Amino acid sequence: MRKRILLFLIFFIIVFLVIFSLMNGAVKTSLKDITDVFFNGSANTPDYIRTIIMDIRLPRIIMALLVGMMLASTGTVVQTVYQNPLADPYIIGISASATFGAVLAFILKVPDLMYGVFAFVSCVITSFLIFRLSNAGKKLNTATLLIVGIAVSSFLGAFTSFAMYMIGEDSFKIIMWTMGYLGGATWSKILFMIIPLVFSITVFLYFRNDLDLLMSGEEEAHSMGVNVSRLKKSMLVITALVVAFSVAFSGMIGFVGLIVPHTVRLLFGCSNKKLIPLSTITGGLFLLACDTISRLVLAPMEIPIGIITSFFGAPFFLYLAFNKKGGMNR
Amino acid sequence: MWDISTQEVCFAYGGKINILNNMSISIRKHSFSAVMGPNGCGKSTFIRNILNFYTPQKGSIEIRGINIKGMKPTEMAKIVSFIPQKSSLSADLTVRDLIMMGRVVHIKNKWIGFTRHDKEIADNLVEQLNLEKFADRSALSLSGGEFQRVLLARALAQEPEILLLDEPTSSLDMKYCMEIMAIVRELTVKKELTALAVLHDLNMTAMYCSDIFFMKDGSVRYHGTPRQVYTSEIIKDIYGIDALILKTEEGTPFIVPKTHPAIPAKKEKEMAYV
Repeated sequence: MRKRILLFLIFFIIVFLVIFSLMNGAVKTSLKDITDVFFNGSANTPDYIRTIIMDIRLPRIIMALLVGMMLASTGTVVQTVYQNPLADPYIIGISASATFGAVLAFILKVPDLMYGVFAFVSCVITSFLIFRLSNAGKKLNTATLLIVGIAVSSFLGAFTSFAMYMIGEDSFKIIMWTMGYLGGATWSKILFMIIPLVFSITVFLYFRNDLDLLMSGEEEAHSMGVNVSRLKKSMLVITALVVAFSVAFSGMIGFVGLIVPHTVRLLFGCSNKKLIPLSTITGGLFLLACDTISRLVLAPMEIPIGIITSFFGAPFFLYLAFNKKGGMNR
Repeated sequence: MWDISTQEVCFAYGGKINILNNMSISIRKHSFSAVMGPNGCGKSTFIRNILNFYTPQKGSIEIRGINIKGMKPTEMAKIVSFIPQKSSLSADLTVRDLIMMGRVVHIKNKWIGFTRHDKEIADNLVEQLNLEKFADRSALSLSGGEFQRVLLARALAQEPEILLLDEPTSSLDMKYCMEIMAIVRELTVKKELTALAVLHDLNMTAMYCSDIFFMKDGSVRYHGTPRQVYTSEIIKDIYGIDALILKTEEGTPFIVPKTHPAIPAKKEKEMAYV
C-alpha cells in the first residue's frame, strides 16, 4: 500500500514538474498559454509563446526525462553486473569514453547524429577493457572499481582536454560535453534517443530474473542456469549503447545512475522486476528536477546540468562509500 | 547406475600446478556421498568441475551417462543444483524471492516470468523446510543456520536430481548442522535425489553419509562406507593424525584424535614471540 502511494506520488511529481517547467524560465508563460498551445491550436497565443513551449521547453523537458531514464536504468544494471552499488557508468569511466568518442566525432566533423555512433564504439571498447581490468567482472571491491574508474577517466579525459585546448575559443561544445547540457534538445535528437532507451529497457526487463540471479554471485548464478559471461557481456554492450547516446546528445551527467537506483532499492527492494522500471521512472523525474533547477536558479543564466547532479551526487557518493548499510552489500 | 562419474579428471588454475590429478569417482544413484580430505586437496575445485563452472583440462565428467562438456547452464541447472558454504548474495531480497530464484531455470516464457505453478512450489518448500516465520523477511537478516536452510530450499526449487554441496555446514552450530544433514539424507533415502557433499566433520559425516571418498593431493585415495574407511591407518594417511576409532551403540564409527598434530616449526617460533 505504502509502495502504491509512493508510486502515485512519483507520477504526480513528474506531471507537476513538467507543467512547472513549461511555465517557468527566462520568459514566463501562463497555464492558459500552455493549454491553448496544446489543445486549441495556436490561434489565441502569440507565436513566440508557441515556439518557447513547443520547440524549446517541451523538447528539453522530454530530453531531461529520457536522459534521466537512460542513466538510471543503466546504473542499475551496471551495479548488478559488477555486484557493487557504487558502480555507475560515470564513476567507472564509461561516460568519459563516450565523451571521448563524441569529441573525436566533433573533431572529424561528421554529422551531428553520428556522434552517438562514435561514442558507442568508444564506449564498447572501454567497457570491455574495464571488464577485463576488473578481474573479468567478478564481484568487485570498491577500491578496484574506483582505481579503474579514475585511471580510465583521467586517461580519456586527457584527450578531451587536449582537444579543448587545441580548439581554443570554439571549444564551447566540448565544454558542454564534459559538463552536461540539455539546452540543445530538438525533436530529432529525442527520436534518436527513444530507440536505444526503449530497446535497452526491453532487454533489461526480459533478463530481469537472470539479473536477479547474478546478485548471488557468478558461481551460484551459473548453478541456477545463467550463462554468466554471456549475460554480463550483452548487458555491457547494451549499457554502452545507452550511455553513448545519452552522452553524445547531452554530455556527461554524473551520479544519476548512482543516486536513483540506490534510493529506489531502499524504498522498493532489490528485485530487478520492480527495480528496473522504478529506477527508470525515478531517473527521469530526478533529472527533470535537476534541469529545472539548473534553468531557474540563476535565470536567465543556465547552469550546466552536470554541475547540479555532481553537486548533489558527490556527497551522496561519499555517504554510500562509507555507510555499510544499503540495498546491496559489498 | 552411476549418477555422477568422472574419469581421470585433471584441472589446474591458469594451467599451473594440477589441483586435480586423475580424479576418478563414481557416485551411486540415491546415495549421500561425502568428499573429504585436508584443506587444499581440491575438493571444492572438484565440485566446481562437476558443476561445469570450471572445465577440466583432461578427463571426462558424466552426469547420468551424459558428458557435461558443452552442456548449457540451463540444461545443467535442471539436473544439478548447488549449495555453497556461504552465499555471495549481495542484494536485499526476501526469503521467498530468494527461493523463487531456483525456479528461474524452469521459466518457459521470459516475458511472462513465473507462473502460479512456480509460486506453489516455492510455497510448498517454505512449508516443508519450516520457513514460514521468515518467508517475507530479508534473507540477509537471517542467522547462518536459517540462511543455509533457505539455500537448500532454493536448490530444491530447481527440482534437481543431483544436489552438490560445498561445505554446507561448516559455519553452523551442531544443531543446525545436523538439521541440514538430516534433511539431505532424508531426500536421498526417499530416493528423490542423489547428494554429493564436501564435508569436514568426520563424525557428522559418519552419522549421515552412505559413501565416503577420501581425497589427497587431487585424487581419491580411499572410498567405501564409513565403517570401511574410518580406520586409524587411513586417518593417519589422510590427515596425519593419530586417532582412536570408537563405535556408537549402533555401530557408527566416531573418531577421537589421540595426539595433537605436530605444530609446524615456523609456527612454533612465532608463538614463542607471543
